[in-house]
This record gives sequence, C-alpha cells and structure tokens, in this order.
Amino acid sequence: MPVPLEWYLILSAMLFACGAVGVLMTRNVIVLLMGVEVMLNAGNLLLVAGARKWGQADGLVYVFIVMTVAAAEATVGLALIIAIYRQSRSLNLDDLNLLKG
Amino acid sequence: MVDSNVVVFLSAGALALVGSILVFAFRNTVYSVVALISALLGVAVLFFQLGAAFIGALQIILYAGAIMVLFLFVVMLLNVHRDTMGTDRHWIQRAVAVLAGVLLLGQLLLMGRGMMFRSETQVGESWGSAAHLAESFFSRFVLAFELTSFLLLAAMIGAVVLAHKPTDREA
Repeated sequence: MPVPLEWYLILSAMLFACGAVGVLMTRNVIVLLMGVEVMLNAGNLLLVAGARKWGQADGLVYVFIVMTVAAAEATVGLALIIAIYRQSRSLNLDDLNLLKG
Repeated sequence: MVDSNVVVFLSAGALALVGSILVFAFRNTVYSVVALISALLGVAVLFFQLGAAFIGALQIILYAGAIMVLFLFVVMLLNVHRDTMGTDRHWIQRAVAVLAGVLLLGQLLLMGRGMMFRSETQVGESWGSAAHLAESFFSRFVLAFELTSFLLLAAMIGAVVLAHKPTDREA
C-alpha cells in the first residue's frame, strides 16, 4: 500500500511552518537564510506530491527551477552576509541598523 | 502488520522535521548547518519514495552537497565571535513567532483539506526519471530552462561583485 498523498501535504505544511517560525525567531543572518531554505524545501515536497497526483512532469520542472533559484539566492545572500560582516563586524540582525533614522 | 512504505515515510519525515527544528535550536551555526543537511536528506528520501528519482538525486547533489558546503564555507570563513553571532535568546519574540507559526500551520492545513489528494492518478514506470523530465524541459519549458542559466550567471557575477574586497588601489 503506498502512503496516501495527504500525508505529504501535512508534512510539507509542518516543514513550512517550522521554517517560518525559525525565520521569525532567529537573530542570526546565516540561520535566517537557512530558514528560507527549509521553507523552499517544504514547497518542493508539495510540488513533487502534486506532480505525482496528476501524473505529469510540470511539478518536477518547477522543483528544478526552484532549486536553481535557491542556489542563486544562497549565493547572493551569502555574498551579502560577507559584505555585511566586513562592514559591521556582526551577524546579529539587531546590529544592522545602518538605515535607521 | 505495518507497511514498509509507512515506515520509510515516517522515519524520513521525522528526520526532515526534527532536522528543521534543530536548525534553529543550536547556538553553534555549524551544528545548524549539519542539522539542515540531515533535514534535506530526509526530504530527498521522500522524493525517492514518491518516485521522483532524478529530483531526489538533485536534492542530494545540489542542495545537501553544493549549497550546504557553501554555507559551511561562509560560517568557517567569517569565524564569528559568539557575542556578535546573534544567538542570544529573546523570549517574547520566540513566543510571538511560535504563535504565528501555529496559526500559519492551522491555516495551511485548513486550506489543504479541500485539495482532494485522495484520488491518485496511476503513473507509469518512467515517471520522474531524467528522460521524463527532459521531455518537458526541452519542449514546453525550454525558455524557462535557458533563463535559469542566465539567473545562475547573474548570481555568480553578483556574488563576485558583492564579496569582492576592494584593494587599496581601487578604494
């Protein structure tokens, strides 16, 4: 008996909520970026389950594109983190108040 | 008698979920990265179980391999002191975040209830293989495929420009 697809739906929702909570609660820029990766992965899981449900490849194509975007996002994000760290010598989000009036 | 599919789903799902939670529980960022790698591997197992073998392989090679190594390198490169790491606890922020997360989860599950995932289409043996994916990619989605290469090029140039340390002569 294969696992019902609703289970994947529920797990994906739990993973997404977990990533969202992490992003809201962390003060570390790198951990924040990892929270975004967790959320992207939850979305990927749901897309694959949906592609399986309809028996088509479209969902898989979207997953591939999401992975590419995630790679690009991680690259630019980490480069920004390095630049920020050079500027303010801190990875704490509370210390990054350069635009504060 | 417990079905083997259920066992695989539950163990991989638990790995993914516990890994994702532990990412935010550790004070040391290296531990967080390792927890995220285990979560990504759990999701990869679920991809394999769904039959999307190519996507599962990509998940391991690209995500758990390349992207997470990038994270590890940055953590190692910056060598941040603990005081400026941003790992101090803020309890009010945490409580609000967890409350928001519970509300979000409830909403997602309520929304998902109407999605009718019960009636599953029978899929062939080749579903999810590289050939099956390539058929879509090089016909309907060929423009998107080309654009992803531009995206990666732009990201690479952006990363080099952003992380580049200006020398004395340039500055």
